[in-house]
Amino acid sequence: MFEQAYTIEKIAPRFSIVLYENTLKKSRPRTRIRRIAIHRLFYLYAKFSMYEDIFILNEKYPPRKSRRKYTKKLIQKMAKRFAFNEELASKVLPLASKTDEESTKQLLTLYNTEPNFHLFRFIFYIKLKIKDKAGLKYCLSELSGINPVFKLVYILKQVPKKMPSYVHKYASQVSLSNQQKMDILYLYGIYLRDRHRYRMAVRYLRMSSSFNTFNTSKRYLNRSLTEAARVLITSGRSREGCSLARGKKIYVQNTADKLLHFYCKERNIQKIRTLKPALLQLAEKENNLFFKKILKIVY
Amino acid sequence: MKALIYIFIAIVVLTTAIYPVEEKGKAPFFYLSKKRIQLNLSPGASKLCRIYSRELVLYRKYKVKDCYKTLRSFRKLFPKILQENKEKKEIMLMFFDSLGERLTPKVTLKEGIFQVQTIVYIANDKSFFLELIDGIGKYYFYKVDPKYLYLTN
Repeated sequence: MFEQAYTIEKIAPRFSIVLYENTLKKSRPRTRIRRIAIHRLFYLYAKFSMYEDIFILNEKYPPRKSRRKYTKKLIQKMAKRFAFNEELASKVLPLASKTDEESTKQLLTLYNTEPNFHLFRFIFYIKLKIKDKAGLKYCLSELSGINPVFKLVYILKQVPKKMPSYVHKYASQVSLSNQQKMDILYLYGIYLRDRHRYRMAVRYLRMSSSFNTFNTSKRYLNRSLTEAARVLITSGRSREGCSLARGKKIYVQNTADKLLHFYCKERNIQKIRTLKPALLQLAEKENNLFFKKILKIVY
Repeated sequence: MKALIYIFIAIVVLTTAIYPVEEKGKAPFFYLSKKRIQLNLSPGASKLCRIYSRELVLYRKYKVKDCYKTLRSFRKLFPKILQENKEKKEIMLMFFDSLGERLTPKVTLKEGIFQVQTIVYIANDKSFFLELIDGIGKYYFYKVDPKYLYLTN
C-alpha cells in the first residue's frame, strides 16, 4: 500500500492521500512507515488546503516540534485568508477535533467571544468528518442565527430520512439569498443522488447552478454542475455529463473533481487506469458510485 | 358588550404581533405559486405528446409516443394521460406543432420569463413539474399545480 501511495503521489498527488491514510491506519505505533505516512499526509493536506484533516490528524497523532510549528503557520495563513482571529482559531480548531462534552462546551464558549462564519464552517466540517454527532447537535442548537444550510448538511449526513421535510421547511423561509437557494437545491440533489433517483438529482442540481452568483462562474464549472455531470456519468450518460463541462474549467476541490477533469477534459483513460488502487479505495469509502462507474468504464 | 369586543380585538392584534403569521403556509421557492400560469401557445395549433428520452440535458434524441389534442385547460387531459400510463414512474410531455416540430412555449412568471422545455409527472411524488429555460440559458425545475396551467389563445 505504501509503495502504491508513493508511486501515485508522483502521478496525481491528490489520489495518494487515501492510500497513505490506509497505510497509517494499518501501521503499528512507533514504526518508520507510520512516521513517513503522517509526514506525507500532513504535507498533502496542507498542499490541497484540506485544513480540517490537519487538525484531525494532529488530534490522533499529537505533533512534535516541526509539525506544531507548521500548524501555527497554517493557522496564520487561514486567519488572514478568512478574516478570523488567529489566537482564537489556534485554541478553537484543535478543540473541534475532540469529542468529549467538556471540550465541546469549552469550544462554544471560546467561539462565542468572536463568532465568524468561516471559523464556524471549519469547526462544523471537522465535527462532521469525525462523525461527532452529539457535538454537532450541541453546536447547532446552542448557537443562534446559524445559516440553515448547516442544519441541512447535518440532516443529510445524520438523518437523511428527514431530508425532504427539512428542505421543504427551509426552502419556504422568506428572504433567502441566491447563495442559500443554490445550497438548498444542491443538498437536495445530493440526497436524491444517494437515493439513486438520478433523473431528479440532475434536475435539482442544474437548477441549483442557476442561482449561482459567483463571478468566476463564467470560466469555471460550479459545484452544482460538477455534481450534475458526475450523476449523469454515474447513470450511464457520459456524453451528456461531459457536455456540461464543455467550454469551462473544472474547479478542482477534491479527488472526484480531479477524476472528472481526467475523464472529461484530459480524456486520459491510461492515466485513470494507473490510479486504480486509489480509485478502489475511494469507491469503497462512503460507497461512492461515481468512482465505481469510472472504474467500470476504463476496464 | 362593546368592551368585550374591544378586548377581543386587542387580544387578536397582540397575538399576531407576537406570532407573525406571514410565513404560515408559504410554499418553497421552487414551487410555482401563481394561480394562473399561461403558456403562450394556441390550443388548436399544437399537440401535447408523451415522449421517451434517456437524455436529461440536451434532448437531441427522444421518441414520440402518444399525442393528445390540447385545449385551453389541462383539467381533463392530465387525468386521461395519467390513467393511460399508470405503471410509469415518470411521464415526460412535450409540445409539437401540426408538422411535428417541437415547440417551447413562452411563459411569464414573477420568477422571470421562460421557455417551457417539458412538463414532467413524477409518480413517486404525485406531482407535476415544468422544465424551464430562461433568456440566458439557465435551467429551472419548478413544481406546479396542473389545475392552474393554461394555454392562451
